Amino acid sequence: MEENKEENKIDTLSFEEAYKALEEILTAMEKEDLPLDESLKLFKRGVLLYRRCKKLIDSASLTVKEVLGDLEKEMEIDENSSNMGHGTTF
Amino acid sequence: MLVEPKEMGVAEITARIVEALKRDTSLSNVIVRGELSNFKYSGPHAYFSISEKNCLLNCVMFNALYKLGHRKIEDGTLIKVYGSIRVYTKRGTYQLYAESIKEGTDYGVLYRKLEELKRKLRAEGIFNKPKKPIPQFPKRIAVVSSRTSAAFRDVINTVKKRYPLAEILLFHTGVQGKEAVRETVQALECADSSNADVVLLVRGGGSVEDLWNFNEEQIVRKLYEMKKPVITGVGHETDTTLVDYVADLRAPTPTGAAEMATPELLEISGIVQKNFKRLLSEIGTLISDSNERVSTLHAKLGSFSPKRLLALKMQKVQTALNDIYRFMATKIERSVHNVRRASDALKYAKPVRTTEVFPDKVESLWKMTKHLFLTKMDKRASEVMRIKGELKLHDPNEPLKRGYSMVFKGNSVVRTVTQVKMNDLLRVIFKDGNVSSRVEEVKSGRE
Repeated sequence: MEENKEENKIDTLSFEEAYKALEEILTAMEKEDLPLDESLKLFKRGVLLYRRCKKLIDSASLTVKEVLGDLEKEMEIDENSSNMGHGTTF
Repeated sequence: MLVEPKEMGVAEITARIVEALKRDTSLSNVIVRGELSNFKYSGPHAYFSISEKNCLLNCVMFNALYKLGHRKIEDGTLIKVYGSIRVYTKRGTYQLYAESIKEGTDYGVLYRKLEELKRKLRAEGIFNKPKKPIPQFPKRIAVVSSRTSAAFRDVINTVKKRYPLAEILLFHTGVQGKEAVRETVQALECADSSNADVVLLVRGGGSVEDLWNFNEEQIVRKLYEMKKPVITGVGHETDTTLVDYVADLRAPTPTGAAEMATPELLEISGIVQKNFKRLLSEIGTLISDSNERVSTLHAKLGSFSPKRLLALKMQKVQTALNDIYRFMATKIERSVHNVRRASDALKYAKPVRTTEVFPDKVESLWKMTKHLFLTKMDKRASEVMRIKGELKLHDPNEPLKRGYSMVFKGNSVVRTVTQVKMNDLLRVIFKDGNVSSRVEEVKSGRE
């Protein structure tokens, strides 16, 4: 139950948050005086964070939006990534 | 293939250089653009330099007094010089032999204004504004640029390649003309109040006029006020505009700005992968360490188990038992051996022998005993005789027999006259009787 909660929480982390948290866990685990069950808890969390990072990396696709200054209204730009770079849209 | 170097005098090499320059006909009929400096007259002729970026060209104009009408041209003026490039052989230098000069006065004014503005802003400390850190992992990148510009396209391509996790927010602005200044300021303001982590101000390469807006005071001051970190990428590597001085980071190009704003995802992915491996090895080590510790404890515990103590005792008993067995075995073996030897001996023994020897032995023993007994008896008899004689010598009755007498006072023998006083009753003993007498006189000495 609690694990699920933890997992859900991690699933909402941004890449930066997950990445930094993973690094923090490593630092904590490399401290020698940590009890085993504490380490195991950290390890489980580390695996979840790793999965989160991996998922974000693998599924990353650039989003481009135009903000119309006065209206402050964001609108999705037709982002056909394959077209991009050939100067058709931009 | 190596070609032998040719040996020649200075005159010959100079002639060859002159020839080489002549071969490029464009050099003898050219208009050169540049910023003028060090203009001076020497006699009727004028000498000056024109420069652009890091390059400088020396120029000479013969009869300049006449050609320019005594006019002196100010340093920093952008000019176009028509003439030809030739070698001045006496000095070993090349220079532009100017025929006419055309001044682009607009540029000169602009540059002067720019220098003035730069000085003013520097004096205000605008360029010394502390630089804000650029976030390592931007979630949203604001781009202030024209939506149709190559610069914006470059940014998108770069971010897409390096860090597609990010989101790009475009704040469109025209980039040329006076109108664009207001637009750019507005776009920067919107970008600053958006939820972006970093702002890119980008513009592709172009002429001096094209990039001029990025020297505008309003834009520079807007950048100075911005709360979000700003990266500029205006023009090409060699172009520097005033916005570069106030930016938190200055990139040479729009692509460079996008690179500075983003981490390389491949690299980051590698780090994540490495961190995961570290995590695995860390937990692996931890578990195997704990396992080892538990095993050690288990072994220690085992050494205190009653089973083991019992086994130890059992072992002792076994050893003792073994000792007994061994001891008994040796003993039995030895006995068997003895019996065997005895029985062997019996085989060869004569049963008569003992009885033959025995009477003689008894006889001699008897004699010896008798002799010892008699000798001892003789010794005792003579000892008794000796003691008897000695006793006789000490008998007090012996002197009485020879006529002496003994005097007693009470029960004690009187040995000296001092023991006796007047009227003492003394008893004198003889060998055949005794007399009691009273003392009438006591005298010392023998008379």
